[in-house]
Amino acid sequence: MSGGGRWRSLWPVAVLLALLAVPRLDLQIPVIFDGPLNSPGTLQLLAVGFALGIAALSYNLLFGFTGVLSFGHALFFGTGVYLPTIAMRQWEWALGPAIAFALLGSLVLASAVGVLAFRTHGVYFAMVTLAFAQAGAVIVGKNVGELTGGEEGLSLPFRRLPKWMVGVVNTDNLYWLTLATLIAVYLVALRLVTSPTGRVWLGIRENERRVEMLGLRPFPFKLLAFVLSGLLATVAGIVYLFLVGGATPRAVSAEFTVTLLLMVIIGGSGSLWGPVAGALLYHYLNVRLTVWAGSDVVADLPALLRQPLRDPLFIFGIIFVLLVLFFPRGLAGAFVGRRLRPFGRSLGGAVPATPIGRSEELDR
Amino acid sequence: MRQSGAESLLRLTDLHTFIGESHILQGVSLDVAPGRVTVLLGRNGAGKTTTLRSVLGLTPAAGGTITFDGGDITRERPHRIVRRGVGYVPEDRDVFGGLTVDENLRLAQRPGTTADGMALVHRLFPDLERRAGQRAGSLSGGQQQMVAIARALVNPNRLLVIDEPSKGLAPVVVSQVTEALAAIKGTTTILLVEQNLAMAQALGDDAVIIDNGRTVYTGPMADVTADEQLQARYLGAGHSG
Amino acid sequence: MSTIILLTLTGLALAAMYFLLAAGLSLIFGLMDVLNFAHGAFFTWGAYAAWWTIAQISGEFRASTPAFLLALVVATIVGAVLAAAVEVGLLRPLYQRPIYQVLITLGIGLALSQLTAVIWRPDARTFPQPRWLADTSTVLGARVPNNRFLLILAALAVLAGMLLFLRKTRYGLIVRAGAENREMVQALGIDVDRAFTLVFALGGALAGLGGAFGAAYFGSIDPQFGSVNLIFAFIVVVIGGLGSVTGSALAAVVIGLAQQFGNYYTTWAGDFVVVLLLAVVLLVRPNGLLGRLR
Repeated sequence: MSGGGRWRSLWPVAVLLALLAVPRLDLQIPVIFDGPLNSPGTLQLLAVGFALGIAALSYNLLFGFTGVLSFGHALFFGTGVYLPTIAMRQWEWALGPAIAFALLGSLVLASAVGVLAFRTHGVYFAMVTLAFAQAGAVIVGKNVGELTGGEEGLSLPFRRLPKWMVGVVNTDNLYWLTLATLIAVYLVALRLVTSPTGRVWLGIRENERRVEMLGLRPFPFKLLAFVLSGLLATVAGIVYLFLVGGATPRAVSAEFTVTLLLMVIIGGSGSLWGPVAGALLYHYLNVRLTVWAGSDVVADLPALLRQPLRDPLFIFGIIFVLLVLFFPRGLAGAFVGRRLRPFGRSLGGAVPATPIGRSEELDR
Repeated sequence: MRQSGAESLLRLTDLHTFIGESHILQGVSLDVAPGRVTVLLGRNGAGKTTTLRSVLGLTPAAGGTITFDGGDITRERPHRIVRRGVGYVPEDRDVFGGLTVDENLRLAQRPGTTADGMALVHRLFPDLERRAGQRAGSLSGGQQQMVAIARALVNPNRLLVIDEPSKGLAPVVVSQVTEALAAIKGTTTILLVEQNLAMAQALGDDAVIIDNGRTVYTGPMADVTADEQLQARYLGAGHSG
Repeated sequence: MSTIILLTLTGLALAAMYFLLAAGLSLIFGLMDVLNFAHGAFFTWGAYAAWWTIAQISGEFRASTPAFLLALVVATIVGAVLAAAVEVGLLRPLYQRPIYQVLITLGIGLALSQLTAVIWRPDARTFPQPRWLADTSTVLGARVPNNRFLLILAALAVLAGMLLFLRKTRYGLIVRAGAENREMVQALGIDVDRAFTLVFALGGALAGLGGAFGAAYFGSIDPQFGSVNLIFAFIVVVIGGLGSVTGSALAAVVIGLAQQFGNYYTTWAGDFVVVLLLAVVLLVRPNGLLGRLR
């Protein structure tokens, strides 16, 4: 890969690095944000968006770059949210071991689910991963073993966290932590997709049978993609946990996976940065729509308009449908057109016409 | 090299077809004269099957025109083309394995047609009548080929499009299939793709040879049979008389 | 003993509800290769349509028998109409792109389900049913709500009807053939698109009916009603084998019973056993109990 290609794929990192300055910027951006840029509220909004961005990026390694549609991703995000909380609250572990426990647990879980689920293909795989995630959701929701706090969830025991991570005054620290994690994950993902393994992933996405004909067994590559994307989702879950200060069942729900998919579709599945942008936009809209729905402007609207506006999920459903119908390549597709530069070049110019795989390997 | 003057039931003019990114047909032209058997010849990968699939609308042509009985069918959907009176016997037979022989035939029979077709089929392939209740998937390759041909014969079609009926069949079965097709020859128009030169020779009136997606020869089948140089050039070594 | 009877009958009723949802999913997948995430929304809409009908006729808190029966009809029609509209309006442009089809059904499912929250409130509502349906009958010492029996009977009737449809009608023939080889069906002069719409509408009708019965079974409805049950219906479809109606029926019984008996011991065991069963079936028979090898 030429230097130009590398720089082209590194520009999002530059943007993210620039965002590190935000907690020191006392800027008012009316309409867009309520408080100044460096107010805890705005920083929290952005930071949660970054955490979701990590999750969406990890999901897209599997969906966009390997052509595997999983509905079980919330399971691994949820692992990052729940295992540290359980370890610290119920077993009184320290922060470090609790994080290690979550990562190890995610590794084991993703390997087990992957080995089982990859016995199937395409749509079957989607359903099977959905079922496993549902098992996770049941364990969490029904408070199995009195560990998870059930529907109520479980709050993080703040006394087990270092001082700099606790409290509204330290929001800027958490912001930096999350953004730094996002940058690190982005670089890891970039390294992965441009590696020989990443090229095999793209090959699997384009045509799994052709990969087999080249004498490679797709299974270990798909499993690796599944496990790595699961691990990164757990990382996302951990930073998310620090930001929101507790674990709730939503983190392991099927709806959360659907949300991730929505972020990927909004941003575009053909690039690494697309899903991050999609996640930020999604989270921003989700928060702001709820605020707007409660505003006077909306309250004065006729019921026919007011009711739908009060339901962000309904609006996202509609957006989802419209995007799939009219902008299947998302934001990234709209901005970058058909270019999938770094990968297209390393594949000898075999740039795919569609951001996700062709029909033949995605059904059956 | 086009036949001129002769009326044609099916006419392909400068057909271009893509499969994915690959430009498979790069100018196929041919005429099928009514009442005659036109054999489409060419090497493996020359584009014979794609030509037939374009005629049926299964792999729609990107350029050129296809007319059937004077009407333009280039952009028509497959079921409409078929309902104009085209019977199709695909390359790999594609019988519905989970359905019985009888169900395969009844599915093919278009509502409103008379029972004549079924009678014809049973006369040509008495074996199928005996096996009416058997699952088509459990039949031998030759029997499946008969089901596939029978599906095209149950309707009063004006054109039969048949893709390599001899493929993968034992010689004795090939001659059975040849006999069956010979029996209907003259009563209907046939566009036949066939690698087996003996069969092509037994059935064909006219021949069209395509190479690399282009028509390279049009003429009487008998001339192809006689011209070994032509055979060597376009049909490769795999062909034997 | 009476506990076992009660659990068995309740489990079979649950199975019946899953079957109504899964049969359509399985047919749709078998013919069209579409994993239909909007199916849960058809189910939800069936439930709400039934509730609305009853509320119009006999009020929100009690249901007369005619109101309930009419509600079943309305639920079925609403399911069928919604499904047909979705297929013709939104899925048809995407036939060449299966993944986008899955995605769009996901979006449709989300929007349609939430639309019930937009039109009626997002919180749960009690589903009124005629007294005789909510009453219990005593079977070998077990007191079983009558709606369980009605649900089981309805599912059996639907199973019989579907098998007849598939085996004895021309459209059934087209559906079975189309599940094997869509293109060849077209090449026999048959308009496959019409068969798609029909199968979608049929699946939607069953989901709508299932939603109405499910509402009676659980006694209350909410906008997430369908998506919760959809996950179990997916499991039923995978265990039964995609495209096999009989397989779905068989798997529904296994899942319904396992879930009921499991949940009797602890609140979560049932759901957990279901996923465990799925894992076992996948290990032993990746194509499901009655699935064709693909």
